[in-house]
Amino acid sequence: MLFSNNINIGIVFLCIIFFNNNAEASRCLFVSSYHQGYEWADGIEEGVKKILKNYCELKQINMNTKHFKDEAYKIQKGKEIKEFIEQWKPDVVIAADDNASKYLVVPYFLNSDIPFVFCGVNWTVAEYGYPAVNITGMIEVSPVQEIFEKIQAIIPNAKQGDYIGVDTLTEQKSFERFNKIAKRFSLMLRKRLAKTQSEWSEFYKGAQKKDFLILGTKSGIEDWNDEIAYQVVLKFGRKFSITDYEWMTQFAVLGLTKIPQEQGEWAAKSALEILNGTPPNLIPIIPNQHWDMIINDQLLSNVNVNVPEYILLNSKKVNVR
Amino acid sequence: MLDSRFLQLKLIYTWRMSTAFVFCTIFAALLIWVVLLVENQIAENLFRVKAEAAYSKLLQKLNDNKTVISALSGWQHSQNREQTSELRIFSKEILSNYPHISSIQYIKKIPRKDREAFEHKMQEDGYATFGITQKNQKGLIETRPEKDNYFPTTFIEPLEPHTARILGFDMLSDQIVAQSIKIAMESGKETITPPVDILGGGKGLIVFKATYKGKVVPTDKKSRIDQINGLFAVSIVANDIKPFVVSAFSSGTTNIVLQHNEIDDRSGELLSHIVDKRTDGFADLFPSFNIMIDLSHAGQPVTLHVWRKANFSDYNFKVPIGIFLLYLTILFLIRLSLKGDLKHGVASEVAQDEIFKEKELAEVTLHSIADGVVTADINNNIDYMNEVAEELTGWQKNEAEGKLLNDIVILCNEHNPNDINNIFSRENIKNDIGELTENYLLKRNDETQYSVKLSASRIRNRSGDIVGTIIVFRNVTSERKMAQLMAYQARHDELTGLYNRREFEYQLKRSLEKCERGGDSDVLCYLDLDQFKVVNDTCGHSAGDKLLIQVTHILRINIRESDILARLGGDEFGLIIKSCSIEKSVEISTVLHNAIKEFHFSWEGKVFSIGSSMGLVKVSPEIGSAAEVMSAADSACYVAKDKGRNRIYAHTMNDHELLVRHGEMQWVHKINEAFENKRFRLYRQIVQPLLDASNPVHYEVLIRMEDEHGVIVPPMAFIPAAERYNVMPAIDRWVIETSFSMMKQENNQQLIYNINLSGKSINEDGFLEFIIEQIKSYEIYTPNICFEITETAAISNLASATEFMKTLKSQGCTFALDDFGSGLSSFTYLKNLPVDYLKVDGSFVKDLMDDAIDRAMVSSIAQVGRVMGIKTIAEFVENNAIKQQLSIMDIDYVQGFGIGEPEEWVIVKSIDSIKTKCDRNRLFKQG
Repeated sequence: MLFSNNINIGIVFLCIIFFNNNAEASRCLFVSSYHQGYEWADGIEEGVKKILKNYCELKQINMNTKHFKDEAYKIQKGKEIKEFIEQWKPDVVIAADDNASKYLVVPYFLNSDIPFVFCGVNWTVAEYGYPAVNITGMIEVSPVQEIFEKIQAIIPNAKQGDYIGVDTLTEQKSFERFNKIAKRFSLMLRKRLAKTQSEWSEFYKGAQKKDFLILGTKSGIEDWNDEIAYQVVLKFGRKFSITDYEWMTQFAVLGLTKIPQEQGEWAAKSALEILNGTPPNLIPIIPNQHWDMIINDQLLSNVNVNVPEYILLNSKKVNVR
Repeated sequence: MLDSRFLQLKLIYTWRMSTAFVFCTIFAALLIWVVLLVENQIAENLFRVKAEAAYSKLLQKLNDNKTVISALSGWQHSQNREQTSELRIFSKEILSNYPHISSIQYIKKIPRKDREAFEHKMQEDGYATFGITQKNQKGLIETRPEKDNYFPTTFIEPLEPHTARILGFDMLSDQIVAQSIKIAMESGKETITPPVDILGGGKGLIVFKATYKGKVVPTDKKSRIDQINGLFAVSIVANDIKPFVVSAFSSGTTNIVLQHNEIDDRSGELLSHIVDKRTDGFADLFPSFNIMIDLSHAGQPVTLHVWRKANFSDYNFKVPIGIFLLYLTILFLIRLSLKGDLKHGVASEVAQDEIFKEKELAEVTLHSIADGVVTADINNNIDYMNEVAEELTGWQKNEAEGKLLNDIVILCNEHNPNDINNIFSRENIKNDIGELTENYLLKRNDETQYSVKLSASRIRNRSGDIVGTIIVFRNVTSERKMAQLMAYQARHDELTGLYNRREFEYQLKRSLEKCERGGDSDVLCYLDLDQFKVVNDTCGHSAGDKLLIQVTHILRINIRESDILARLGGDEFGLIIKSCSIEKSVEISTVLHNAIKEFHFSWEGKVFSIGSSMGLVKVSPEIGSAAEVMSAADSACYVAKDKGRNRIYAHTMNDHELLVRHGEMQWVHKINEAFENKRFRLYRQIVQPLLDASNPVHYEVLIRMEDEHGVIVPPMAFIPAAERYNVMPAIDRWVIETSFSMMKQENNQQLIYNINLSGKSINEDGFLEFIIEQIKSYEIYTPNICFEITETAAISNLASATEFMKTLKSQGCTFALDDFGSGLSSFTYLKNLPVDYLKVDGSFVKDLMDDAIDRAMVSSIAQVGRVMGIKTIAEFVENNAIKQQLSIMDIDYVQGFGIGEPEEWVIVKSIDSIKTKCDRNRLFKQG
C-alpha cells in the first residue's frame, strides 16, 4: 500500500540498492534529502557505499526536496519514510543533509531507540535539538576562515568584496557566516543573492568594482546555464574570485571546496561503530576537516594578482574548457 | 702347520681389523661431535644476528618516534598562530611515512578562566558535543571537573569515530600517563609512558613532548612550567610494530616478548609472539637459543626477550652422515687394503658432493633475503656475498671473493664521507668488534653512497677463537633522507634557507661553552632591517619576502665561512662572528652595514633604500646565559635604533646606554604608580599664527608626570619607555579624556587644541570608537580638535592610519603630521595622507640661521604645503631671528620657547587673556 501510493504521486524511493542478500546481515538505511544526479548528494552517497558495502544490507531513499520544494510534500515524505522505517526496522539510519533531519528525524525519532547518524547539516545542529541519545554525526562547515586567509595572502590590500549567491535560506545563512568572519579580517562584504541567471550575471559584472568576489552556489537558479555563466566570467572577470563549492570552481579563480565523500564516509564509519555496540551519544559530533584547493588557470590569467607558490603547488587544476 | 699359519695370519688380520675399527670409530665419533658443535655455534650466531636485527628494527622504530615528535614540536614553535589544517596535513604525511605510528595528538593547556570561552568556540566551530572531561579518582569520566588548568586533547590524527572520543579529554587526569606528561612539561624533553591501552587499538606506548609560548624552549624549569601551552603525543600500538620485529626471523619458531621490567604481570607485556610451545621428547634433545636485550627507552626500562629451541633444520646432518659413510668406507678400504684390494677416493667423493649441495642450499637461502650479507674468513678475506650485497657494493661475488673485506665493503662515517672506517681491515682481524650495530655510509665501487644499518659479528668456534666475520646490512637511504629532511626543516628558516632562531640559540650555547672551556670568544651581532616594514606594508608580503632573500644573499657573501648566520624572525638576523675581538667585529659589521646601505631594493618601479641597525656583544659567561647574551645584543641593537637607526652599536660591560635601556623597565612601574596616584598633569604650549592673524590660535596639549616627591618629570624621561612597553595607548586615552573635560569647562570655540596620538594607539582596536564616544560624552565642538600624529606612526601602518584619519575628519576633526621631513620618504606618502597641517621637524628649524640645507628643506616643505593647501607649523622656534626667517618662507604657524613656553593648563575663558599671556611670555624670553 505504501509503495502504490508513492507510485501514484510519481516520486517513490528512486533507488533501492541491495548490496548484500544475506538475510542475517545488519540493516542500514541511507536517507538522502536530495536526488541522484545532484553532485553533493552523489558525493555523500559514494562515501556511504564505499564504507558500508560489505558490512550491511543497505537501502537508500531519496527525499528529492530540490525538485519538490513544497512544504506539504516534505512533511508527507518524512511521514512515508517514518512508516517505512517502522516496517523494515533498520539497525541504523543515516540522514544526509538538513531536510532529512528536519522532516524525518526531528518529528519522529528524537530520543527514540533507533540510532541515527546525520551528515551534511549546515553549521549548527542546535535548532534540531541535537545532540540526543540516539543521534550523532558530522556537521558541514565551509572553510570560511581559510578563504579569507587566502584572499589576504593573494590581495594584501583588499578592503571590500561581493558575495554572489542564490536567494535561498542556506545561502542567506552562508553569507552571514562569511560576513561575521570578514569583519575579523577588516574586510567589507556586500550581499548579492540572485534569483535568475541574468540577475547573477549583473551582480557578477557589478562586482568588478570591488577588490574580490566570493561565489556561493548556483543551485536554486532554475534557468541556470553553465556555458552562459562561463562566457560572462571569461569576458568580464578581472577581479580575483574564490568559492567553496566544487561545482562553482569553473567560474572562480580559486576554489576551496568541501568534500561530500568525507561526510558520507564519516557517517558510514559512525554507523559501523554503532553496529559494533557503541551508543551514538558516545561518538562526538564533529565538523568536516578537509577541503580541496582548485585553481582555474584560464581565469587566473585574466586577473592581475600574484598567487603564492605554495597555493599553486598544492592546488588541483580545474578542467579548462 | 698350514692351519697354524692361517690361524696366525687370521689373528693378525683380526687384530689389525679390530685396531682399525676401534681407532676409526673413535675418530669418526669425535669428528661428528665437532661438526655438530660448529653447526650449533653457527646456528646460534645466525640466531643472534637475527635477534640483533630485530632489536635494531625495534630501536629504530622507537627512535623514529623521537624524530617525529621533535619535528612536530619544532614545527609548532615556528608557527605564529594555531594552524590546525596545516597540522593535519603535516600529521597525515608523518603517518604515511611512519606506518607504525598509530596516532598524533595535540594537548592544549586551557586555564580555568578560559575554559567556558574555549568550549564555546569549539562548539561554534562545529564540535557540537565538545566539552572538557576527565577521569575522576574512581576511573569514571566526569564532564565538569574543577581545576586550575586543563589539558584536553584538541587535535588527533587520524580522526575517526572511535578516536574522536579523546577530543576534550583531560590527559592529565589519567593516572598512568600523568607522570610522563608532568616530566615532559618540566623537562622540555621527550618522555614515554609505561604500557597503556591506545584508544581501543591494543597495548602500546605514548611519547610526549611539550610546546611552549614563544619560539624557544625556556631554559629553566620554572619558566617551562609557566610558559607551557601544550604537548604533542605520538602513540605506537605494539601490535603495529610486531610485523617489523617478527620479520627479522625467517624461522617461524622464534618466541619474542617485549616486557616492561617494573611491571611483572601481563599488563607490563607490550609485545608477545609465542609460537614454539613444543613439549615432546625430541624438543628436550636440542639446546635453546636465548637472548635478553635491554631496550630501555626514554626512562622506561624495557627488555626484549628472544628465544627458541633448536630443531633439526638448524643442523646439517648430511655432513655427519657423510663422515659416517667415510668412516665405513675407510673401514672398507682398510679391509681392502689389508686384503690387498683398495680403491681410493670413493667415500671422499660422496662427502664432497654432499658438502657442495649443502653450500648451494645456504646460498639460495641467503640470495632470497632483502638484506645484504657478506661473510669473510679468519683473514677478513671475503668468501661469500649475496645478490643484495652485490648490488649495494657494486662488486660481483666472483670478483670480490678472496679480496679483503675492507676493500669491498667500504664504510664511511655517516656525517663525513671522507672518514673511512677501518674496522674490517687486516690490522683489526684479531680485534673483537663485539656485536656491532651501527649506521654508516656504504660507498659503492662507482662512488654511489648508500646509508646502511649494519650489523656485524665475528664467528667463533667452540673455543671462542675467531673463525670469520659475518656482516648483514640494509639500505636505509630513503628513511635517512626523510629524517635528514625533517631535521633540516626543524633547524632552518624556510624562506631564506638560513638557520632559524632555535638552531641559532643552540649554536650560541656552544659558542658560550667553548668560551667557558677557555677557547676563543666569539661576538654576537644582532641585525634589524630599518625599512622592511615600509616595504612590507606598501608593496605586500611578496615584496617583503623578496627583500629578505636579497638581503640574505648580501649578508652571506660578506661573512666568513666559519661565521654563523641565522634569521631570527621577521626582519631580524643574528650572526655569530667566530673567534673575533669586538673591535674586529665592528669592522666586519661595518662591511655588512655598508653593503646593505649600498643595496637598493626595487619592486614594481619603486626603489627603496634599505638600512640596518646592528647590536654587537661579546659572547662571554660574564654577560650570563645564552638567553642573556641574546638579550644584551637585542638591547644593543635597540640602542642603535634609538640613536637614529642605520648604525652599529657595540655593547661593553657596564654599558651606560644599556643601563638606560634596562632602566626603562623601571619607568613602566613608575608610570603605573603615577596612574594609580593621579600624578599626571596636562601642560600646553601656544602655536601662534605667523602670517595671517585671522587664523585660529592653537595650543599643543603636553603631558607631564610628577614623581613621588612632587617633582615634574620631563616627558622624554618616561615617553620612550611608555612607547616601548605599550603603555602609550593608556596615556593617550587619559590625555584625550582629560583634555576634553578641560575643553568643555573652558568652552572657547576660537581655540584649536592639538592632541598628540602615538602610533600604537592608532592601531589599537577600539581606540577610534573611544575617541568618538568621548566626543559625544563631553559634547565637544570637533573643529576645536586637531590630532597630531608622527610621520613614522602614519607611514608604519599607512592603510589603517588613513582609515583612522578619514573617520575622524568626517566627524569634523583636523590632523597635523608631526616631525615632518624626518623620514626618508616624507613627500612620497604625503599625498596619501589626509592631513591639514604639517609640523616641520624641529631639527630643521633650530639651526635654520646657520645651515643652508635646513633652510632649503623648510622652504621646500612650506612650498609643498602651499601647493597642497596644507598649513605649515614650525616648532623649535627659539628666537626672533628664526621667526622672521620663517615669515619670509611663508610658514603659517610658529611654536617654540621663543613664542611661548609650555605651562600648566588652567581654565581660561577669554581669548584676549591668552593672547596677552602669550605676548608677555615672548617679551620675557626676548628680554
